[in-house]
Amino acid sequence: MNIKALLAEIAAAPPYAGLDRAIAVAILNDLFRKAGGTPLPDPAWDTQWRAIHAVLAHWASTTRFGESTVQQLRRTQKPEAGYRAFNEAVEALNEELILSNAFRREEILRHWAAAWGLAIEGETPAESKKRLETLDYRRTLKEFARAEESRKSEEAARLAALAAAQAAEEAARGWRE
Amino acid sequence: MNSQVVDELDIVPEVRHTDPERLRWLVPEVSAATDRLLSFQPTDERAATASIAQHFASLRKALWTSPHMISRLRACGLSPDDLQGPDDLHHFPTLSRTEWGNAWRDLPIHPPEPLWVAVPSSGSTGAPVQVVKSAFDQVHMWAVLDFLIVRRQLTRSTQVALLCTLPSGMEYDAALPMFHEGHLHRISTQRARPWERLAALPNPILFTDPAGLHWLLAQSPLRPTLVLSSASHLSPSVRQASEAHFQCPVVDYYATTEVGAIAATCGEQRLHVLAPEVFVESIEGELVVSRLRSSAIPILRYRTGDSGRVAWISCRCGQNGWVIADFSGRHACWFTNPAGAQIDAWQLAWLFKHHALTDFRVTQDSTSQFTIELVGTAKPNLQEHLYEALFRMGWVSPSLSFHTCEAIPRSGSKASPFRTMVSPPSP
Repeated sequence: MNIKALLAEIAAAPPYAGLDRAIAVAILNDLFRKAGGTPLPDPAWDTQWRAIHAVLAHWASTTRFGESTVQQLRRTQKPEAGYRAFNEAVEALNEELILSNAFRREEILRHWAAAWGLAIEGETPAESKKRLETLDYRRTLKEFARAEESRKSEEAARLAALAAAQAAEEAARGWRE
Repeated sequence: MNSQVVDELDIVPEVRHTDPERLRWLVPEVSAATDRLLSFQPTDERAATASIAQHFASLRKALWTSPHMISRLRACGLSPDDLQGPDDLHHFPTLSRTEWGNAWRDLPIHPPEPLWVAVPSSGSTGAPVQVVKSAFDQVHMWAVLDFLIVRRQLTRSTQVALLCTLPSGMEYDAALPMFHEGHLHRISTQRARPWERLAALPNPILFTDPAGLHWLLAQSPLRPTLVLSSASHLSPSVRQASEAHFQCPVVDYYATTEVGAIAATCGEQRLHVLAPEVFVESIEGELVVSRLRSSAIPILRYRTGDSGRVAWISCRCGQNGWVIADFSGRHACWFTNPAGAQIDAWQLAWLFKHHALTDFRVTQDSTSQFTIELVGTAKPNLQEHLYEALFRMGWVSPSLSFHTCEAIPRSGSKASPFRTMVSPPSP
């Protein structure tokens, strides 16, 4: 999968304007059929469906994203496990993020590749893993939360120290007076 | 330098003025910055882009702890870790002066560090903004100076003179442990015997601005090792006259209070970007700067308001790198005096600096008629000082019309305080 070329194609493709769930499911299921495998059955889609799948289906029908996927998908791939892994990996992402942000688009493509074991052109598996770790927005959100907590606790400690210093000064003044 | 304590950020209260001796512990960091500048010698732009990407790590780390920047990036669905190098910059939002002014308390990294100060940026081109500076921010200029001396193969002098023409008359002497155990002498043209005291320094390095150069050109020649001019536009004619007068290199030094040093001219008069300390882009003709070194504020894509374009060159001075071409710092403006001479209007800028003004504009309506628009309150001596300055520049009886107003209408991101309605004389 040539990530750089795909991102360029996505940027140049017709903009996403929504896609009916049934059509999106059909497009994604076709990827598995073309690879000689078995698509995710309809009942499973009830639990696995996410709105971002419609964006992926749009890309599959307007760019070489679908073709890149089919070329490497194994016939024996278990779609339910793959979608479960993919959905968990992209839980921090949503339609708005991936449509507005090039890094989150790259991230979702890489999560897709990782979920199905697709190789990224021009990268070793270790390089692909490292790049995905850098982009992973779940990690970013955890870091945002940690940084905010750290700032709040430092601020609380600073205010407590100021209050203690002020109290000590007032106590000393009281002694002098 | 004027600075003030910012209690909200818990800045050590006893630091009320620049005291370089207190910053002695930064000598290794200053030396490391000089080494970074000297070591950045890529063979081509591709190598430079790859090399400078390594320096983005410091900026990334700082972005994580700036409350305002984190909030800003989060709103865009971005992470500091997305910024791996210059090729990623265009995905990130720019930072305007207005946004800086509104968010200055939340821009610095957290937690605060010892010896931070807050410095108001120049108010001569609009409302000043507060700029929080770390201890290293306050001394980084000495690394740049050392780099320029080595790059120009000059004999280093440890005496540094800062010649100031501001009406405040501030002077001081200070040890400079972070500049090879040198000494800094701030000398004011408003005090007694300034030229004599400058002349007593053996081959100093001289910092000044175009107003200071104009004053020096009217005095007997000095023999500095190097002259650096900053703060406002240095016209080619003044630079050439200065080089002939001092018989030493005169460097035009592009720096702002917000960012610090950005670029400096070489012997071929090319304005070289001080990579890898900063990375400069040109967006629709405006210079946008990201600061890559350690500092109190992680500056990411700050819109300077200055005009120019960035190009990669192999310069005849021997330095490959990014240069700023077609630089128009503060909208150069030339007044035509009664004798037909072109006079740099920015020579008047310093007269407005220490009045309680939030904005001003000087318009040459005709050869000897000027309109001065003021937003705020000027001291009574402004009119007298303007008359004196214009007289020195060749106007025998200028007519000055003062107007106080609520706001001065402007176009463009950086205010131009000078304009002329007088066409220059035909060549």
